[in-house]
Amino acid sequence: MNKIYLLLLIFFFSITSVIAIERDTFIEESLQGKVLSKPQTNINYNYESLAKIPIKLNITETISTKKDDIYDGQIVKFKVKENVFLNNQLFIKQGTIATARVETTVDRGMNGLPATIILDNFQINNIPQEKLKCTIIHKGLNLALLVFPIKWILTPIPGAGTCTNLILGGHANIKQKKTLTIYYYPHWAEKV
Amino acid sequence: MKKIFVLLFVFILFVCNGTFAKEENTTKTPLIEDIRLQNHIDEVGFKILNANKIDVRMVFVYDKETNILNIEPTLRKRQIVAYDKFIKTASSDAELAAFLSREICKGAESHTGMFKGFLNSLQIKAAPKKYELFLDKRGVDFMVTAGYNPLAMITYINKTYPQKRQDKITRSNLTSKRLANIYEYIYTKYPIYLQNNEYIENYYYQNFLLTSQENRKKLHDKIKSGSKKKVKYE
Repeated sequence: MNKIYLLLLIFFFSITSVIAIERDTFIEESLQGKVLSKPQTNINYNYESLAKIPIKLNITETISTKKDDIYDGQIVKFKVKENVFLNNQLFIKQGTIATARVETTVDRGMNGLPATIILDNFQINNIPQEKLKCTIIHKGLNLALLVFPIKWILTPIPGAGTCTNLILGGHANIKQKKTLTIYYYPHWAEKV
Repeated sequence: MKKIFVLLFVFILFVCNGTFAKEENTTKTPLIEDIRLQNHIDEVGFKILNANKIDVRMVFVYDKETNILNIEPTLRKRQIVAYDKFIKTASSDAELAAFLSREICKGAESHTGMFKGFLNSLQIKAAPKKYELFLDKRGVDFMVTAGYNPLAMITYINKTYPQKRQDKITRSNLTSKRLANIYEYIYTKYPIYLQNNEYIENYYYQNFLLTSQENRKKLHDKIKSGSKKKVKYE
């Protein structure tokens, strides 16, 4: 009889250990059924080749950290500014739509710290990510050159140096007029 | 009599040899271990650098104890020092990659901007809280591109960084706030890792789920409402 109790006890413990696994059910449910693709990795590379082709782009709609509508993972659209040629043949036509992802943003901060927008993961004419060098780091007005000298001058006066904390840096914005350049390396992902 | 001397001589030689051999072993073993660790850190570090096409130079150094005179080597010398206290909690390559990715991002930032990156480095030092969250997020990106599971960033930080009482007048964020931000970031950009969660039975991930209920509730509310505004995590 004791053996049966013991077995039951072991069975009970084994079940409770399974039940003890906490799950984020809301997240799991919200992702259930969605067809998600695995993010692209860059493991097969060969950086030997120096050949690169610039691709000039203009954003279709201005984005700015001033407005609250910019967020991590946001997809933004670009238009190719000029025709791109590869081996004297038209490779990307002017006006082709490209997309990029807002990787993350940094809000502007005290001591003249500018806001930052980071764009990456450009998708254009199905060019593989391994062959693109396209991380764009765009910053707002950096007031550090003004702030830090003032701060250091005021530091001997107790508490005065902290006044410069109130000076905020500029917002980052990418306007339609602004031309961004990314680079296409045709031979980068080819293993030797 | 001669035989006794010979025997004694042989005995002394044997003892001395044994002792020296022992000393040799005790001095060499940690060095070999250090070299092994250094090689491993280099391997993971350079894998991240190459995968993310980081075209600025950086080196990795393994060190046992924190050197207080070596202030921010990542920003000054672009030398990423992996101290024992930071990497001893990394139980897998992915967790080591979590530590290194953050530092690599910091090192890359120190190369850009005015005066060959001096001004940028100064600002990272001046606004550590803001950059801490930024480095966590970019670290996740770097890990994913290098083929590591970004949930390891959560388990690594959960194990390594303590929880302060408040972060209003400190130079770093509450660890719970950092973890919640990383979790939201992974949900937004790399949801597949949460859909096929390889870490669901991991003790440290479970501990994160247990201790982040309030913050996760806030994220759930944000998702339900469809809002894109930043959530104030605690």
